[in-house]
Amino acid sequence: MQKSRRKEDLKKELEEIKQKEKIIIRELDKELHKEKIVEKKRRILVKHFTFSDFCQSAIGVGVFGLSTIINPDIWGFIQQLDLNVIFWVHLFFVICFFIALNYEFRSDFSFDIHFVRNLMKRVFFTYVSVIITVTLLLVLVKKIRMDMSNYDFLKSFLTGQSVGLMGAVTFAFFKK
Amino acid sequence: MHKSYDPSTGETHYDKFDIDFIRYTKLPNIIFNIIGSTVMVVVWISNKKLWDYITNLPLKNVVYINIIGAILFFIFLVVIANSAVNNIPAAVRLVGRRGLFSYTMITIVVVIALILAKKMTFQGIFSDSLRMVMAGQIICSLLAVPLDYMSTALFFKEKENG
Repeated sequence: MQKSRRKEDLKKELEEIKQKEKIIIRELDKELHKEKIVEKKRRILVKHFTFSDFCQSAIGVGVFGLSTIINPDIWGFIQQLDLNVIFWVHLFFVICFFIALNYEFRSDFSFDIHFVRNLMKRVFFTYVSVIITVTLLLVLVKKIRMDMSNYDFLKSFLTGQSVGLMGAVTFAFFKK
Repeated sequence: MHKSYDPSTGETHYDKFDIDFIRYTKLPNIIFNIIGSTVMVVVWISNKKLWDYITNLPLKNVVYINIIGAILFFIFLVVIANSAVNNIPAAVRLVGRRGLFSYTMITIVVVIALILAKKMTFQGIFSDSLRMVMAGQIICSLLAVPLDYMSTALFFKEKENG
């Protein structure tokens, strides 16, 4: 009699544990599903470069880059530098820009092929947005002229582009 | 109704007909674009008559031909995309994104070819270089753009998953 009662008690306990297990698995599935939705939203956000993003890049370049671009002392200093130096500094800024843009959309730097591919496209679109704005500004301050040499054009362009990229990404962080 | 699954975002798009050749840029598109651009730029640079004729055009004319040609092609693709997605801003976004990649590849090939052929140097005048690059873009787009878009439309179908 005692043995059968003990058996029944054990069966009840087992049933309770199984019920609790089911609840825990259901909660875990919910959390996993939420994570997948967050991941999907993040990929969509990083891929979709809208007209608003273009305007924000332009504003960032204007707000943070205009004062540097119209400053004649900066251009006097740039004249003394070699194109090689300006090119490598620009490349360094592009890499920093890529890393900073990554952290605008997620809090880590893990390798997710789809996210990285969409991020590269976003970097490209933002770079082109900055090119458009910087070219207009450089033409305005006569740092791009038709009669200049290609060497001087590249120096002016790379300098303006580096300043513009810094402005665009700084504005993106302020906006965040 | 055509169902198109984008694996990079997990989105599924429902279009009236297949416009994957506008929606997606893949590695084969880039390869065909580079092949078309390279062929045309080699023909252009190696043919003295063609080179002289195109590069002696005034800069204004080259800029107008370039811009008007690009706008006309852009409008043409937007009309096609809009017929499929029935949303003009979305169609403009799709075509703009797709066209920007093609345009960039053509520009890169033209610049590299002009530098290798020593037609463009650091000491050259910027307006001459700009004219050569824009003329090169016009020439290359005659073959590169059809190859680029045709390759997706004819050979590569997006898997319908999701």
